[in-house]
Amino acid sequence: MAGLDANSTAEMSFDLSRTGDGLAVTINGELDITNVDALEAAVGSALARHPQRLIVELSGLRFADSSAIALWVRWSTAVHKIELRDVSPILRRVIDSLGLAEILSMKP
Amino acid sequence: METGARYEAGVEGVDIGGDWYDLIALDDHRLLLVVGDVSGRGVRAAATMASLRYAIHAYAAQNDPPATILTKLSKLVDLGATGQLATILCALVDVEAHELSVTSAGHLPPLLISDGKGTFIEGAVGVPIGVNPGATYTSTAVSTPPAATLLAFTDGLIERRGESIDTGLERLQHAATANHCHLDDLLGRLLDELRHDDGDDDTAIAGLRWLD
Repeated sequence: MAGLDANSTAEMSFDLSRTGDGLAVTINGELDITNVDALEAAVGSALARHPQRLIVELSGLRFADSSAIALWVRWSTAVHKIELRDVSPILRRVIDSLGLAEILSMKP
Repeated sequence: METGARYEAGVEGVDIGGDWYDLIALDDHRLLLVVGDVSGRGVRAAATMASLRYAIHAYAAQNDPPATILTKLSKLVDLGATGQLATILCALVDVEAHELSVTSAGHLPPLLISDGKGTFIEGAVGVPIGVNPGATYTSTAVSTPPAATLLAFTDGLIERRGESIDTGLERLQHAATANHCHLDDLLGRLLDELRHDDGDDDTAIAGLRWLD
């Protein structure tokens, strides 16, 4: 699956907020093999409290590789329900082709 | 039957990729075609790839069909600890009977070419290996016409940034049916034509062609 230049880190920012019964993560920019570990570490302690629901807001996501999708699958195991929001048609098609649509529920 | 395969690494000098192919002869008229892709790269991806390949060879040696191989593989290989995923396409090919049995763990569909027309074999797609140890997989059976060509590949061959994978699949379909040549030349041409210059993903492609 996709990888990138070993020495450069893609530009990405994120924001964490609490919702009624869970956690919302907003991801902006490019999420790939070069920065996925940083995001996972940053969200880890909030996820360790096992929120019921995790909303991943992706309207500001410009690019994601397979490492990003693998991260969301790992997150899905830590919560009762994960929901990807504002998923682009390109990304939705990739998640469908991976047979992951039932695990990563997607809202347009 | 003609068989062929190619592998092309991603960014030069950067680690090792996680894509592979295998053509495993089962007896005098059947073989197993496998193409897979482990997420990430480097030593970790290579180690995972090695264990997946060895396990597939072992299950193939005990005559397991593709759906059983991937179901067992899911239980055996715990990727949860490392957080990796692997997509695998596994096809049992009966050369004499002109029959295929195809199983997919989140992998892109293989392309079947016959009489200048290309059709993707869109069967049931299970989750990638590593998502769920209890996952089960099913096979799709396909009869192949005389002189058919089957191509299985990884996403490096068709994916481009900012583009739908459907566009890439159509590009492959077009390129693979426009070229009438020996299988080995076809595989080489597809790599040359379809991989874009700044392609940083590794790519594996494997093909079979019936001679009758």
